[in-house]
Amino acid sequence: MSATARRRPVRLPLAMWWRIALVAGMIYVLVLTLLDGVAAAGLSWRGGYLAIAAALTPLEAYFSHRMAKRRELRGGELSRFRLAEALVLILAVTAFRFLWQGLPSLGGRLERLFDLEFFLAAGVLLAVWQAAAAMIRWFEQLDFQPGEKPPPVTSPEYDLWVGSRVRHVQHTAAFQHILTTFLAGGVLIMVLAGMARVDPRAIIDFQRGTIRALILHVLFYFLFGLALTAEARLALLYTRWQHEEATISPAVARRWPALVLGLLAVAVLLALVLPVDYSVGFIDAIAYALNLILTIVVTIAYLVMYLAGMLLYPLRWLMGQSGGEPAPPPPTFQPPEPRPAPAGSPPFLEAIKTLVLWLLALGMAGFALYNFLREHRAALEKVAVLRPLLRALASLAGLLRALFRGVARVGGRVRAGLERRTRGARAAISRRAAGLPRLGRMSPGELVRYYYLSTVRRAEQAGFPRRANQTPDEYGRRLGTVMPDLDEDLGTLTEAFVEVRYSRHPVDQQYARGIRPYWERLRRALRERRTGAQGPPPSAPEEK
Amino acid sequence: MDLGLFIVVLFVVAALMRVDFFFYLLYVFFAVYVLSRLWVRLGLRQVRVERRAPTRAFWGERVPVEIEVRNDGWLPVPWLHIQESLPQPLAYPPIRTQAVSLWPHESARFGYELDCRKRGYYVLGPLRLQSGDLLAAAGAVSAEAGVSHLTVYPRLLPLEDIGIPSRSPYGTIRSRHAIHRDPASIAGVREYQPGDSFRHINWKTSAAQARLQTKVFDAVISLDTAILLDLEREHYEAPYAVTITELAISVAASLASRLARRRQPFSLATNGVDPLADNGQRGPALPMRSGQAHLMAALEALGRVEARAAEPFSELVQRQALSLPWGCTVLMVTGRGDGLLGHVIGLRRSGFKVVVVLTDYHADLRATGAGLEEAGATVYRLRQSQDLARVVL
Repeated sequence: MSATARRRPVRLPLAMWWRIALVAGMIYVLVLTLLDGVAAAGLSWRGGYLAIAAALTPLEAYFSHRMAKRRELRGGELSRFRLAEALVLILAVTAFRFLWQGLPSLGGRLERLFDLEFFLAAGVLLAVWQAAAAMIRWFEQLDFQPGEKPPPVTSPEYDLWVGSRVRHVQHTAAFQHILTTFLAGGVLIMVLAGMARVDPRAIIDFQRGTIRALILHVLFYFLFGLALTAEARLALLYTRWQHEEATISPAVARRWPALVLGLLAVAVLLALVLPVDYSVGFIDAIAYALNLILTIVVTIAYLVMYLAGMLLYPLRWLMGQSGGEPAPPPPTFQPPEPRPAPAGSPPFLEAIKTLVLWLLALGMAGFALYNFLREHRAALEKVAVLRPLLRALASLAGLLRALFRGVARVGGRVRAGLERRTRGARAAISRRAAGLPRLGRMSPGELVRYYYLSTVRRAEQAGFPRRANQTPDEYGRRLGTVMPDLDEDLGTLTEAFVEVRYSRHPVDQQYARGIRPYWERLRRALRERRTGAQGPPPSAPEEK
Repeated sequence: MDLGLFIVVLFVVAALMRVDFFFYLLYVFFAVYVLSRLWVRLGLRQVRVERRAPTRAFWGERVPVEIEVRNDGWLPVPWLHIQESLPQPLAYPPIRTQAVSLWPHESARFGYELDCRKRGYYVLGPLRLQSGDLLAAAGAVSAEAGVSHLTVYPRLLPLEDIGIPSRSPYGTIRSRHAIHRDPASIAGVREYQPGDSFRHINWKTSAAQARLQTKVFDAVISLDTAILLDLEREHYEAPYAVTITELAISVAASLASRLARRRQPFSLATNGVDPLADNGQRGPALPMRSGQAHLMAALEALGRVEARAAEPFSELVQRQALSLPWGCTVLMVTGRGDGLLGHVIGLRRSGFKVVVVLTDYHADLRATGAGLEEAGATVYRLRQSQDLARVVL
């Protein structure tokens, strides 16, 4: 260790101050919650000193880490250093305790110093110190270090770099450790805070409602933790980008806090509109819902029976007349008596609220679990115990997917049908708007042409388009092969069209009227074909 | 611990404790979980990328490329990692990366320059985009934007520097056979004869001599030039094949440029592979034309062509000989000139003038050159110079 290195003061970068402050805040509220739990258990412990001492551990951990690193302590040397550090911390917290609480009367017996509180405080302090030291280490690993950048492959430093420790720093793993520690601490603080407020016997009592309580310690813990996660995430991204020598816009870091706050604000707003409390127990709510469903079913059954009775009443009345007996009175509808509600019957809205809350919470947990299993399937399948569960879940997911697909298919069909009908109606309206051909004003020749051309158009719509190179006769024959029952009608209409179109002599009104029935039958048949229904065979043309 | 797993644990704790605040936490974390996933997917979907780059560049030019990334949607994109892949011969490092953040309807621009010191047909891109969320609740999502193409023309060399005379063998030469008369080049005057065009009467001389005099023009034959470039690797010395084929392409481009400057029509055909050709069976071939646009087309084809043979050079010569105009000069640019003798004899017999440029200055070309010259071809051997060494570097 060089003298210059020893003399150089340890500087704390601004980002590290922020991180240490956040970790300190998290530890502080965690220890306070622990003290709340101890107090709820009926033990008197003036442990404010412990929370303050614990909050200072991240700062201490940072400086001691830097010191050990600068002195390049390894192996046994490092262990001795850590042991000495732990002893100093315990002594410091004990001294702080006496400053906080005043000196106890030892009566000359030094062993009285080592009471239960001493061991508890030392244990808590060492645990949070370890956690803080780990967090500091991970944060350091998270950051890009200049030595990570590889020198040119041809340079002599390259071989040194390949074997260097800095090359193997796992940035993403460090981030995962930070996130996991935060979330695990979150579970711990919730359990501690919950235990401080809920009677342990009430935990399994599913007939009770929720407890309304805003637990500030938990709130602050998650606020600090989310800020720490956001900071760590940004640091990780910066590290990756620096590895790639990317040009990083300063806007990324500048906007980061605003975007995180925006996301959290939207999440909180969404959470505020959802139900969180209820006064009816879960079991009661389910019983109430079942009761309600049963009442509805019985009512429907009574209604059906009443209607059946009303239908049979004339028959009974007639039979009564023939026997000379007075006719029975008509049945009257008597709705069933609702089942007696359980004692302290829950109001309808409260029960619904309870059910909605539980369904929502279950749905969320299910969705998160499903995604977790899906994303970690490969890793989880290595655990033999979990394999059958995973297989069962995969089958369930497959079933649900098939169900959704089926529903989507049916929905698609319905939508397509509706669209077809809407399109048809729109087309009809537009045809009307464009002006329908006025058959009464057409000459006989025009009428016959119209009959033929409209038949060709309808046949095209039904899926039998006329090719440009087909003569009317060819087209008529082809159409006749696919619609043999209309072959005669087609032949007559085609013949009439050819006569009108290509001959020089005029046709009279009588002729056009004679063609009309053929056209009408063809029109009807083609319309039915287009809509998918096969119509009845056409009848013979009417004689005019 | 994963955020998804934490939500499950949070649910269990909330369900057991039944403290309303825990349900709030559950909702908040679930909302963060779901919103992050949605945000990432929707955010990247609304990002549009536009690359502004020229499609052609001359050798030695520095080409600016600008990339604009635009957020067309209403959601901000918290971070966007943009990675542009570039052709290594034109840029080092061959990857440019940028990290930006985009508000709704905001755009970010960045650019780089390509140093076009190697001819070729290059792909700029693809441009890879990656985005993610703020709290690592969702995995990163990637997308890929399209690619652009850039053709770098071959280097144009001063022909004198590489040992080819700048006048002959191609160009407008005087001919004893009066195929065309050049009205711009008057050889003299003679007595007017019936049938002479009045437009060709020299009125000044006629007035001076008191007899009608008609202008006599130089008889010229304008030689079309067909450039045939050989890119068959076997025709070049193995260790230097890459360098020399590049040199051959440069020589062909320089010759085409010289012809275009002299406003002479030329055609170009090569057996190299054109990356844009549909079948890849034949190299690019341009018809006999003149003008600047034709030169640009030729440079583009030569910039694009890959130095490997799509067909044997002999097949190319045979095929091209069928469509050459009578009396044109066939200018073959090749490496050592292997197997050309028969073609030279055939072309000479068919009335074509044949010029062969042998570019492989590493090989001993004396015997081959002498044989080709005996067959009636004009042969040029490139001389090795320092300048040549820089042709393809």
